[in-house]
Amino acid sequence: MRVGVEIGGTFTDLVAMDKNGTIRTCKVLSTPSSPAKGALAALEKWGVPLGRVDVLVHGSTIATNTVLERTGAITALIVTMGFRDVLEIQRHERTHVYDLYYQKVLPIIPRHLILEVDERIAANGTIVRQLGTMEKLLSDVEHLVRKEGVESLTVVLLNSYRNSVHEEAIGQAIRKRFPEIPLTLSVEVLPQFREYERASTTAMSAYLKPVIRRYMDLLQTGLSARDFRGDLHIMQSNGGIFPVAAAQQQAVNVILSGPAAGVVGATCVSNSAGHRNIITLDMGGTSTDVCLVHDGKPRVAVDNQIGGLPILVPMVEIITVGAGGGSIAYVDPGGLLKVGPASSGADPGPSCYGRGGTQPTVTDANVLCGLIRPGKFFGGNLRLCPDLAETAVLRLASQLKMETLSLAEGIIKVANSNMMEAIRLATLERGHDPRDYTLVAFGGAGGMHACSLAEELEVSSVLVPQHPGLLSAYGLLVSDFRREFVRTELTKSTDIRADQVLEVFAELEDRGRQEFEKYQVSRRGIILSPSVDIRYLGQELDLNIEVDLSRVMEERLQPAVKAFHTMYFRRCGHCFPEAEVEVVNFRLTVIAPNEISPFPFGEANSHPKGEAGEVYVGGSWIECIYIERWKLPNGFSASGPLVIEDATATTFVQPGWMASVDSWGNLVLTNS
Amino acid sequence: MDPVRLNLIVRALESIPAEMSINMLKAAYSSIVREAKDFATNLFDRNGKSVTQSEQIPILVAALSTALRFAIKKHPLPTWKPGELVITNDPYNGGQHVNDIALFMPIFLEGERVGIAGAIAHHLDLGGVNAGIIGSATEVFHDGILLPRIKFTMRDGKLDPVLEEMIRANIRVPDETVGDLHAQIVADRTAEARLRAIIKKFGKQDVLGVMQRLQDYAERLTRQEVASFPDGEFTGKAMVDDDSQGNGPFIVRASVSIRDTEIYVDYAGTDFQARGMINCPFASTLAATYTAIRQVVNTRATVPANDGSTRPLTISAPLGCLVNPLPPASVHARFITAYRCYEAVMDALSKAVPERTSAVGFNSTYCFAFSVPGAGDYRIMSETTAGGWGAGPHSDGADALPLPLSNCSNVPAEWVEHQFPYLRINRYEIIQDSCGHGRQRGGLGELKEYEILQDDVAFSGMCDRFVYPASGFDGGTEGSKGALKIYRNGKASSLPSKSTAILRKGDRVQFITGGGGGYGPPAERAREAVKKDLKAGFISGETARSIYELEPDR
Repeated sequence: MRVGVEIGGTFTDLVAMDKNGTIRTCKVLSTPSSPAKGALAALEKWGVPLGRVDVLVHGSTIATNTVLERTGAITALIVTMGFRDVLEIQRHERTHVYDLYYQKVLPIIPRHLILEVDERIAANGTIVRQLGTMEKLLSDVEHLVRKEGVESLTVVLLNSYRNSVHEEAIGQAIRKRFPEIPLTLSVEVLPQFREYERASTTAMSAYLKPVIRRYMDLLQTGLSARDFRGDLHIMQSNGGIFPVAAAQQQAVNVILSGPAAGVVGATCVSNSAGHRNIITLDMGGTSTDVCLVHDGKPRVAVDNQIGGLPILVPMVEIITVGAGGGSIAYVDPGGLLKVGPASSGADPGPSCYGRGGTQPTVTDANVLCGLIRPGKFFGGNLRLCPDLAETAVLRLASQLKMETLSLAEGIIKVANSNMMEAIRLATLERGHDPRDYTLVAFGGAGGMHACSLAEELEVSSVLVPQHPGLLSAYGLLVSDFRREFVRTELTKSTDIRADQVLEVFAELEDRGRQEFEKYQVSRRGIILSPSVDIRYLGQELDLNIEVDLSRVMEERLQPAVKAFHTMYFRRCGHCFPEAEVEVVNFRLTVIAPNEISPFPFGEANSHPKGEAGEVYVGGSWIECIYIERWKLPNGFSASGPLVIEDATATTFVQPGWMASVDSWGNLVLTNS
Repeated sequence: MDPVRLNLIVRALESIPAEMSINMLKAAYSSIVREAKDFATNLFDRNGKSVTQSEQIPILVAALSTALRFAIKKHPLPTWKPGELVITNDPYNGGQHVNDIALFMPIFLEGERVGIAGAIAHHLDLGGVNAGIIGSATEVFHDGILLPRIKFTMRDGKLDPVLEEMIRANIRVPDETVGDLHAQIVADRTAEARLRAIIKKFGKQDVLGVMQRLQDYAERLTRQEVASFPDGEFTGKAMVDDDSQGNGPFIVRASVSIRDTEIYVDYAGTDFQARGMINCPFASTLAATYTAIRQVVNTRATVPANDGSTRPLTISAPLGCLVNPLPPASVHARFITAYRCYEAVMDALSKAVPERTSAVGFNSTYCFAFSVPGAGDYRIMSETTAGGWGAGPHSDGADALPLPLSNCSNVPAEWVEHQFPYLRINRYEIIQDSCGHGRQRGGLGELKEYEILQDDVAFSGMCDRFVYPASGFDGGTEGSKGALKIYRNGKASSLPSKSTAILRKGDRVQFITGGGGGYGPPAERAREAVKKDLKAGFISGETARSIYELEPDR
């Protein structure tokens, strides 16, 4: 049996799949004070026999929260003489240009924990200044360990991506002297050029290592005590999993893994239903995540940030907008109606939760318009108070001199327009026409807004998977083992030799195989995808291009260079076929595929019976049918207006749309 | 119109300049646009009033309105036809310095003008006396080629071929410059497509109506905020070190009158224009003044940036003075003086609304270039610096941050050393004790040291604040001054703030920027904050003791 446990800020989701493919699900409130304990308690209560679980895959926000709340390990950083302020100075860009009191993002390692070492490597890898004796450095480190309680050490030297001999020598000396303190070298985390970005990524990995280790130990101990003997795997931000031991080494890969799991789940479900080009729409309580999946593969980005700090590890390219069920509607000082990005969160939550929230939210608007029925929310486990929703919206409506219901419908429209912005960024702004894609809506609220968004985008079909509120946890079950390995080798494409290319990829493959050996998955058959980042000499924008190794001996990197010109043209509208091209990074993606098939679909009630009701749409009440999702049989088909209710999510089928259930149990909505 | 529809149209209009910028960035050729993002975009209503703006380099964002106003003066709007563009960089007719080129395009729908798109970008080279910083310039003709508000017909989304040929022949890196101009056209055409789509969806009357309402809204918010300022006349001043021709210092004086909901700024009393390159064309003076006022008005409300927000503001300056010069004075280094306009206005406002302003920041963005001319292989490495911000009433000034009128990124040392093998960066650090002290301290300056690895590298740079530091406020002390140092054969020497030099192998050049002023008396600084700065090494033990009277821990 495989189990996926996804701990979010508000809910913890659990999905289990046994050998026959039968699915069990569970959704409980999270325990923010101790997520691991919360998860263990939930597992226990849920009654899954942990002794029979072979694989448990875990996704959590622990790394993200640790960075955002600055609660990581006390970490010391060793840098090249003259570069002590690499984390303080940053890259100089202000995100709000008119703010007179602008404050930079706070570095995760304070300045007094940064040590300089006298050494220097040039950009071509030659040694400019030899690394001398390390006695002084080691005694300074010892001082910091004793006086400041340093619990993690990291080394980032200038140009070490080119020649890491000094970085590794320091590493050896430190390991010898402080064997008990976790050590992180930039050459191990990210041998890639640009010192600030490399230092930021490496420092974050060091900062997270002890936290992740403690968390995983707690979880593993707890699981063992409950008879768990299987493998524990962790979700990464690239949409792949790795074993818990690897997560402790490469802690930075765990950041933002939650949204990635949702995209993986949506991709898996859609691929098997034959939709290989999709836009994912994951709408939760505070925000909506959008990702473009092309030809069955989610887009992965390398230039990423968290809380304003760069992390150059591959991540599923997700665009987030502050529009969710809890987004608050208000009138700004100039008299304009706004919705979000402020959110009522899980506590107090929307006004209709009756937990003290008084501001009108998107969920309150949906309740007033009849799209959410008070007794059916969260499977009937959270009874909503429509009168509180009405009071909240009414107050805003009188301020704006509007009818309550028109405002409620308006709030939904404004939230939709906020989401549209994210979708435009993910598609049109990157040169993709949304009309070529299927919109895959999930999260608690995705299905409620999907039809309107699809109409606006001229997308003709929407897919709402089974258990849309639990798709992230499902994504954990179906994801592959995946790691990326990178090496920066700045070389003009005309200077590069075939044997050099093969040698670099052989070295990366070696690293990959060694790593996967540790995962004990090498027997499954590994897929290697070599690629290079290429750019025009002198420009900063590089593009990732796949490399066919079998053609390298004959043609070196020429096919990749040709593909680069084409891709550059597609992205920018022009290209420079005559210009000199430079290879920046060699990358190797290593995947050990998972042999899991998507949601099987069980027998359903063959004669679903709905309840009649009314929803407020387009300025008037119209008749509609409410129907329970789990009762819909394979082959079901009906036309909107329909509200399809599920324990974790609601789907609204607008007038003019058809809903049907495909052979995988997905709801497919089509514009007729 | 109901508030929901209004919101939807406003959001759509706001997304236009953002999309213009995204597409322009994609289409751009040069690193100055691509990596430093030295450009801005704007959507104007059918009469040429700015409706929505991208949030980028402040001095450029605010520059487009003035440039368009002057373009319309020469070419009245009824003469603008579909497919036509206006290009301008004329500092004496609404432009900045010649390197900043604006391109405007009218947007038509069914034969009627419904809006105007505008994009402005900084171009690395427009000809001129030499590549890089032109320290010898004394006439605008030395600064580079002038494009005097030329109206032309676009050909296949490109410049008019005759115009293009003319521009190409007069500049050093024609492919980059012309490539970036075409990217500006891409930005304008993005606005055209988007505005047409929005009108198709929401109807012409409503969209054009909202374009006006959005300006009224910004005006209303600005007036609301200004109404809370005390009425009166407040004066401020700021100093420019020199003009690179041996003259200086120069004084910029601003008188700021607050009357009910309006602000009047007059630069009477400012020194006459200079012989050297520091003259600030009036459009730059306006942009700097608007930025200062916007920052102060914006501390509480979020006022959209458009021509409505500047309606309550009236700016004037005597003709022939440093901030409204007469042709043909050089305006190449106008950025230096634009900062002093910003500062003089802030100085005056700090007397009216001290709780909304800050102590003075370092406010000098050094621009410099190291170049190696070669046959067909002209290499120019160019960068800008950051410095310490002035302390605010509730927060310390930011350390080593691009200053208010600018927002360019620095260049990684590993990138510089790979790309320009004649350079190595030895040090890049924050300077201890360089801040002004106070209850809130100013931001710290930075030091960047370049080592020259081959003979005959040409250096040119323009800096300021080597003589007059950033002053403190209300008992806060001043920040440190800037400096430019060169080490040759173990001997240090200081260079003037505006310099050129031919460097040799082994020379080391240090760019030293200064700190921002402090706010309030240093004695009132929280002990914890002093200890934290001491521990971080931002201040020395000596400073902690002598200025903050911190007893050393035993």
